[in-house]
Amino acid sequence: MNEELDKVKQIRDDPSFYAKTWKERTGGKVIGIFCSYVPEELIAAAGALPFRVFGSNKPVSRSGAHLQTYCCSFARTALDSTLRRELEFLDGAVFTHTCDTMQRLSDIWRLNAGFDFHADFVLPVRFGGELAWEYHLHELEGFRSRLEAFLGGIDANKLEKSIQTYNTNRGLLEELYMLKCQNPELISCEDVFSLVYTSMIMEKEEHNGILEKVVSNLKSERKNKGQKEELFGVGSIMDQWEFLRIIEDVGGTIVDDLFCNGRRYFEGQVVCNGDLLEAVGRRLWERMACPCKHGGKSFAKDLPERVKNSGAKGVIFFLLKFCDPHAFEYPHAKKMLDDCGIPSLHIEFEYGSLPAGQTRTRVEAFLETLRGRRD
Amino acid sequence: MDKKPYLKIKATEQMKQLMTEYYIEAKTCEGTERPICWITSGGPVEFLIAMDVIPIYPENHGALLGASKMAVELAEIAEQRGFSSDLCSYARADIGGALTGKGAIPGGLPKPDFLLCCNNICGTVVKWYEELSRIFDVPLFLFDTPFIHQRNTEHAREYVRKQCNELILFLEKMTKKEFSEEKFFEVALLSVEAVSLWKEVLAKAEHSPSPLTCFDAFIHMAPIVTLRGTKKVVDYYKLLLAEMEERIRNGIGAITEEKFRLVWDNIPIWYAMRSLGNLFAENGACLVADTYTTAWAVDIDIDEPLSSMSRAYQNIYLNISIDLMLERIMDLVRRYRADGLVMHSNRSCKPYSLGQYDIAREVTSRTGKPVLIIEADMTDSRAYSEAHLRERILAFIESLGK
Amino acid sequence: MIVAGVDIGSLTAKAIILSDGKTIGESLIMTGHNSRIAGRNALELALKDAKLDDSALSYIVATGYGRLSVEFASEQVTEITCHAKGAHALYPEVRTVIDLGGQDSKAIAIGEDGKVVDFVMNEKCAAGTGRFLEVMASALEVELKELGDISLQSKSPAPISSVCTVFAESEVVSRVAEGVSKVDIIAGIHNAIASRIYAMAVRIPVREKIVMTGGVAYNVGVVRALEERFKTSIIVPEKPQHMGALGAAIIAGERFSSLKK
Repeated sequence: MNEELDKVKQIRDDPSFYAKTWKERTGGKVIGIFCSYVPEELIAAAGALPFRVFGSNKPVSRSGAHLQTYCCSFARTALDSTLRRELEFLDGAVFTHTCDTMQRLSDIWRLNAGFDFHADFVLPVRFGGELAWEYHLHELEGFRSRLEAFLGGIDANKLEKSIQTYNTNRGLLEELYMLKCQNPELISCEDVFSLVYTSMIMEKEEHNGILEKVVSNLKSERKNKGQKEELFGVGSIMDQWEFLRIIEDVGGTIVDDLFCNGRRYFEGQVVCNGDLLEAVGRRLWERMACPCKHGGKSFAKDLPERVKNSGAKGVIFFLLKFCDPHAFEYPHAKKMLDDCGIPSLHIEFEYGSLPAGQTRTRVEAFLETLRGRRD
Repeated sequence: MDKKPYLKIKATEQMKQLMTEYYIEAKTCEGTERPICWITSGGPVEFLIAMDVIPIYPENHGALLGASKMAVELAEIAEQRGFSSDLCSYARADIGGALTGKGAIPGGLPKPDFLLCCNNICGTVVKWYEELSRIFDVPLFLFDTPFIHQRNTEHAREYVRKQCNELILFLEKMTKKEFSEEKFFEVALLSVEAVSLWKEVLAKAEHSPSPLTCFDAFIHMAPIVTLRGTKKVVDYYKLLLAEMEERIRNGIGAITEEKFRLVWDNIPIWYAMRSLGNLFAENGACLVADTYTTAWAVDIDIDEPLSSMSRAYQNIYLNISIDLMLERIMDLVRRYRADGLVMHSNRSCKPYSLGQYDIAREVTSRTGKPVLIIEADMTDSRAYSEAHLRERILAFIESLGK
Repeated sequence: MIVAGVDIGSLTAKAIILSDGKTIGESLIMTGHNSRIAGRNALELALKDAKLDDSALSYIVATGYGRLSVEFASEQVTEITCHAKGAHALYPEVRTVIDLGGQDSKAIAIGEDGKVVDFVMNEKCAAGTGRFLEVMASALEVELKELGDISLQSKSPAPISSVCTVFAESEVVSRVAEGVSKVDIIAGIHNAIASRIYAMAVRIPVREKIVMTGGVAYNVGVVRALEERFKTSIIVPEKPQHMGALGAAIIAGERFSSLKK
């Protein structure tokens, strides 16, 4: 299994290489996406590779001419990557409505990065009620048309197959999380997040192959349950591998989360009864919401319950600096946890500047606090 | 005699009275039968006025807090509760005020019975109003106006249009009164009239020398933002318009000597309005137009009030993509014959500020006119360095002369 | 039982030797560039002070920024836990520790049992730390160690509103140019520090008694300004800089005792 996990980490550390190789091998198109509200199943059904664009820890050079420093480093470094022509293998970019910064990033990207295909679709911010649902479906249909115009037709069979493949992937990731919760010693949280991360950049069938092997190995592993402090992660993106290693190093691990590239990515299955696009839309509608959405299954609503169910004894808020939607949720989410007696730690990070020593001290001190409570 | 560089507008007294009466009325109604609704600056206030609900604008209050330098104290309260100091300063100051009952008016803003949030200005208001909904434990209606990238869609327009009906039902539930189409039509008419007058006032600045600067407009916009749809506001702008026309007749400019004409972009720096206003005026620079006050100069077709209103609310300056914003700025630069553009890179407002760098380059490239970008925050004076800014503004004005 | 606690901070390294709970040796040196050497030197100096050599030690706990670099430690514990432990041992009524060091500041909430309940740290920004005071002392051409006393002489402190050290320095220069007295500016600086610390500290439940630790606690002006902000008197131990090392040594004693059992 270590071989599989090493391979996963290799892909994780150079996603562009994977995408370029895939392109060469299949002759297919690669579409860059920035948000978990994009219905990837459609893109895959059209034979293209949905490629999640992440931030970079490299220092920013070009994007400073387009974006002020008071917006999140995900936007700034992602824009920088494309301006430095590191994303030339992309054939297009898709932006769906996320937050104010991403909305502007889409315009700036379109005006400066110039891919063949640029699609914006604006899902509602209101995620509840008939009216918004109708609009939601219309936008998804509009998006499908735009995709088809660029990638060719998406027939029902292809879409159904794509949905099944995605559902399998989600199911396997769900199993992975469950195994981790049952015995945190089985696999490091760095490996767990690496597996979700690579799912967002790899062809799903290939990734399913890897996941099946990993999950089946984990099921047959006999590891004793140790003394690791179990933590629950809250935030938008978790792709700071150094940070995850620090957590494990000081005796902790993340067993469950609300991250955009964590549980939120794979939560829920697409239930195919009737119109397929509607089914895809319904999953997005009913899955745990991002703080950018209002109503419905709002972000922190059932946080204490999720924490308790996972077995975690403490929460780490790992928040990207200048991410307003999460920053607005933090005070009341923390209060909910305080009221339930669940301790939490708040760490603010920016791409490329997570100070290892100081972060380690914070996490360590937090774990000392948790251990103190236990004794 | 001390010659001020800057001519004071006579109608200001009436405006202050209008606003004072408005706040007093609102405060008096707190806790009574007459409902109070907190609404965002881009929200469809006409519905509230038609239902006899008093609208309160936390953003307008935010401007007052900035101008009176109370914003920092209130923002600190929110920050102590865990709200990041990187969040919008209007929201921080308002949340601080909501938590403590402090504010620019005695006793703080009158508490809301419900909230109306329209996200045509930004996504921050959604989160801000969600927090207010928790603090005051009152219902929140989100009027969702989808962002327009390059072009709008029919189903987006439908979505917004149909939300008007939902809003009406919500208001009926909240006020326990029936919505009167007749009353709404009256209000819409008054709103159209006020907006039309406001547009005329702003258009007077096309004249050289301009009878008003955008610093004046920032102050005199309060009624059109907060009380649009009432008769008082129509009367007020008639007064203001008359004074502007008088100045033009007599060849009087707002500043002593108009050497340069500039366009301003973004929300004003509320706590530095006077000092900045004087600085520009003293150096012969008249800010003749801006993208902020023109946001309330929308087009409404009185024959189709609901659909044209929905369209207007969706199409405001902040809800459109950067290339569309550029077109509007270009139009201002042309119509007002500007010599340059001053852009406030406002830490608190991402939709307004992100994209300014690209717009600035395009404006200069297309018109040859220079652009000055100044970094500050609209209400949080901790992010403002007067000394540094003065130097840059003076250098910019000097460069216009060459 | 003889144990040691070594606190290797970014500016200074301290060590305390305890014999059955009593301090028998201590040291304080500049850390310099090499934490490992500084840690060893601090320990040796403290041993010398106690007239012992390291064979006498049963257990050593290292804490502070450089705790991972020393090989002689039996265990590493963060300074948060150590400061809480030390403060609680000296003052059982303590419920909040405010530690203002050379380059960072922290506030720690402590339960009745002396355990850490919550904490908040600021290492990104110099405002509120010793560094800030150094910069200001230099800008005003005053000795760092006189700053606190001078601040107490002011009857009307000048408002310094910037949160950033660099901006604040520029503000100070402006005030000097305007003719505001040095005494009032210095008092204003101390109020600004207190505001920053207060804003950070209230993110955790702040309760009496409050104990201040770290080198900045030697500045009576900061202590007084904080007392005004928190509206309560603040306990400043005799040796505020040694609190981390003391706590580490106490923990060393506890660990060793439980190992013996």
